[in-house]
Amino acid sequence: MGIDFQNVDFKYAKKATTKQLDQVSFSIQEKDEFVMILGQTGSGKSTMVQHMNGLLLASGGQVRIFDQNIIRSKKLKLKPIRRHVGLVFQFPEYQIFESTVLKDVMFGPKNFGKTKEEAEQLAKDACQLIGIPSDLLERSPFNLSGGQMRRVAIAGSLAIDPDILILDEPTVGLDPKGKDELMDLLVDIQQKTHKTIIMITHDMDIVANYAKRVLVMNHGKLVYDGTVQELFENESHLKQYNLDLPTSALLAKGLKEKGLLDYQRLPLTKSQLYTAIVRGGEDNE
Amino acid sequence: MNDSIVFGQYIYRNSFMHKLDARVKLISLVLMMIGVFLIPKDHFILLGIAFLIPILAILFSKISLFKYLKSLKQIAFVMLFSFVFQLIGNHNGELLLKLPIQFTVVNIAIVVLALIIYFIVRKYLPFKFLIFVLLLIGATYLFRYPIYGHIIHSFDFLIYQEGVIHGLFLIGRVFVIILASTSLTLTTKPTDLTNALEWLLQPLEWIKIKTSIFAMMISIALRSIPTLFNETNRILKAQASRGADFNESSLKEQIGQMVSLLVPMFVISIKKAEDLADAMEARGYIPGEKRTRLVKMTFKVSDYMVLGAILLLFVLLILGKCGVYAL
Ligand SMILES: Nc1ncnc2c1ncn2[C@@H]1O[C@H](COP(=O)(O)OP(=O)(O)O)[C@@H](O)[C@H]1O
Ligand SMILES: [Mg+2]
Repeated sequence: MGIDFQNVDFKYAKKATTKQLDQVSFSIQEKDEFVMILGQTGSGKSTMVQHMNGLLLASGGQVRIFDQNIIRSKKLKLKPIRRHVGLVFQFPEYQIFESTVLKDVMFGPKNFGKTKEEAEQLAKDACQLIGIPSDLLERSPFNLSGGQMRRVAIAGSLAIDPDILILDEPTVGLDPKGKDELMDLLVDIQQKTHKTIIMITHDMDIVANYAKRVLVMNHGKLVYDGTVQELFENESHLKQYNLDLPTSALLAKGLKEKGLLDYQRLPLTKSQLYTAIVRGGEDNE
Repeated sequence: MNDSIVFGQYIYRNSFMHKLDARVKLISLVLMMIGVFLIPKDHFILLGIAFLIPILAILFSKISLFKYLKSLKQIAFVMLFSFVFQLIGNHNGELLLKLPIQFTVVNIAIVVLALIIYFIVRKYLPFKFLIFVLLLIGATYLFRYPIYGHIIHSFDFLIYQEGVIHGLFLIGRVFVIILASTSLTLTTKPTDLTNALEWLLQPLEWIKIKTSIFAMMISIALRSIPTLFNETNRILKAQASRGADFNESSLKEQIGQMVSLLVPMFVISIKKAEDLADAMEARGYIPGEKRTRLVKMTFKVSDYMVLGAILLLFVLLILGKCGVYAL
């Protein structure tokens, strides 16, 4: 088992009355998963993913990562866990510090005991996977565009070659084209390397287009763990968790209300909407 | 924004001390500091009166005594050392105690070892300070009765009455000042404090020093501390995710990893400073220009009363010092 949470509780302040994680239980395989975590701001998504590589330690319940029990103990070394589970923070471009792109991406592998040559190879591979052109490698990372810096930062985690890669809102602040490009790359990486990828997002279109499995957080509780279709078809849930519908689904619903479109399954993506409209047209003929 | 990390020690309560004007508290503290040092040597009665002021402040603050004692803890070592120095250095008055001290190789080694062990494990110890004091007493005891070894050096540790009294007086003084300044910081928001400071430094404007700019700088610096603290935390975690663990690395690695924290912090600070400067300019801030205030500071009756009482005590002390009457 890759990541396994059993009734995990967490509070930032010991005396606080509210828990930032409240009885959270789920598990994620170490291979071939693509999980998206949703929930409104402050619902505890970032807090939860920081438990997945030992940056935060649960105050109750059990967190197991690659069959290692993560508990507060002097003996427990967290570094090997971070070798397996890479975490890319929100706005990761702020973590960049080296003089060249390549050197910055090499920082991770070097910390995990790789030699300079090995680290360089891993860094180059990671840059290629995430689509950083090789002529940028010797450039200063501080002169790059926002989207490119974001990729360099993600490459920094990818170069460690973790089994599970977690990204906290990787598309936030990117333009629509940059978002799609990054998502396509992530899907591509997932299919090529079979790594499990977990990402936090607010963008329902991304969820509709790319997610296989969805976790929804609400006030520190895990309130949904299942498929995208089921999540978006249950409207009372959406309202309760403050989630929006994807643009295509909104449009489809609007059309249906006006009697212009009929469908059995709510279309979530552009192509599903397209099929629904085309099929509707054929039925009328 | 999470506001769990508030810089300074300010604790919100609805109390008399919290409502007291920051300027009154600041002036009172300054007068207290001067006053406590003007108290004639070893005059415990006057020190006792001075002591009453922070005690009243604590009582009227609705904050538990524990929080105040915590601030004393930080300075406990300094107080201990000044007391010990008084004990050693002051040879006036009656001889109270004579401790023959004999250094031998063995007992020096034991004490040095004990101290080294203490400094290694102190991170994990509760009641650090108490254990340290016990260690010192234990060391003295050990030096008195040399069990093994050849005596290298011996002398008599003499404790005189004045040493003890003066040492206690010194500690008392520090005690009063620490309690008083803690009352101020626990019950006053940092922003109120800078406003009070600005008001207090107004006379400097006559010699063309722009105090308002300095006050603004201090306010911004104070305001930035929690933000920068959060950012540091974030970068630390981000780099830890890339294997830079400050707890589980060798010293050489740690130095390299320091850079991975410092560079991003510089970049972030400069970026935030630029953004703030733009935002201030966009809202029409001109350095040194006359500005109006959102919250006008006004003295209330209670403010005048407290200030009056403190001033009265201070003037009485000064008059006594000048020999108008015997203290
Ligand atoms: N470092 C911190 N200290 C104290 N409270 C925090 C900290 N980080 C987040 N919180 C609080 O924990 C809750 C969950 O935050 P977070 O996990 O960041 O939510 P999300 O990522 O879903 O927006 C919020 O109420 C937030 O204010
Ligand atoms: Mg978040």
